[in-house]
Amino acid sequence: MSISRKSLFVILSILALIFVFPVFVTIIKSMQYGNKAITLAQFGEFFFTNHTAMKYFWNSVLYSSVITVFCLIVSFPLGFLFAKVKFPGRDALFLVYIVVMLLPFQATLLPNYIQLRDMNILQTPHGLILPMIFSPFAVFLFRQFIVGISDDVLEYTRLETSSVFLLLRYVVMPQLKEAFAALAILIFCESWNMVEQAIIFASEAPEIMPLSVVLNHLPEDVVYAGATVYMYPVLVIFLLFRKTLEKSMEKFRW
Amino acid sequence: MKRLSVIVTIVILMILIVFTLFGGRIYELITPKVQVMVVNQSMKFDDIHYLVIPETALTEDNCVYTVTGELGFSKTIFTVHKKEVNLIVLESEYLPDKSLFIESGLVRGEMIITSAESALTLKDGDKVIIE
Repeated sequence: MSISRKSLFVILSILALIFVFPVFVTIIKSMQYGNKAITLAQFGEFFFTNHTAMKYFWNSVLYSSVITVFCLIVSFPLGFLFAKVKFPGRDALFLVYIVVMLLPFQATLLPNYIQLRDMNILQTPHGLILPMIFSPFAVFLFRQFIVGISDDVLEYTRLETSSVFLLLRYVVMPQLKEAFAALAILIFCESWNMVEQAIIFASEAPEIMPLSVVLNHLPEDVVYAGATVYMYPVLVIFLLFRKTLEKSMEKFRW
Repeated sequence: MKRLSVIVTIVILMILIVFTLFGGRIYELITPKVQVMVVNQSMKFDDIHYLVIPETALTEDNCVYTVTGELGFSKTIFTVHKKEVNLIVLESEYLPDKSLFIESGLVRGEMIITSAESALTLKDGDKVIIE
């Protein structure tokens, strides 16, 4: 049984509406305050009366930016390693990576906690950033993109230079622009939404919490304005880089 | 369209930066400042304690402005409430000058604005800063 184009459009539209509904409700509710239907008073209350909330917003910006940059720096050569460098046990190790990727965050929480405690960086921003820099998903995605690059191109380059760094910088990297963009967006969004890590790794340091955790503690009358401000970076990133994200998804090979 | 998105993004980002840096200061600028006193002085007359407030705290319609504090997200938020009080006239030569005696309507320990004139523009529930 085939679904006609029209019904497919209707089904997809309904699904899209379900996804978009909370975003619209949050934005619309942020425009209401007391009895006033359309007002920016809630934002005024958020920015002025609860002005320290913005400190947590910038905490989130800092964590997400640092995590994104370092995660890309770490994952890119690892992806190349799994895609193009032959060594014994490579596939087995990659399998371990995929298994780790499939594990829920909660499964690695305790080992991460113990490690951070031993490194003495619990209750610090480093403790929130470090575990998220090493993302098996990013390595996996890079590997899948790099597998698509022809071995011949790499071999020709090896004739010109023996430097792996130059090979990565001038041959592999330019072909992975979309992968970098897509991963940057995905990693940024993932780290922007961190909640459990912050609650557990920084339980005694409320001043370093990201906005995602603090949102829950905002006064009820400004919580929608806070949520709208919280959504802003992710929405902006999506709106500005939507086409790049789509392109990278088209290029992606499973 | 993309250019517009970039412009809007930059404008909002600038607003966020400005409000982050000056949010607290703007709150102090736009919020009325009041002088308050805690009502804890009383006069015993015929075995009854009557609370004493300054004359200036009373409005023409026999009201006082009380201020209550509530622990907010960033700081303690003080709000104003207008309360009607019942006065009593006591006859004794030992009464303090320019003071009024409250029979009912106020409780010991409440904060009141000392100058009702400065609070005339305030409404119930308005936020204030205590000087």
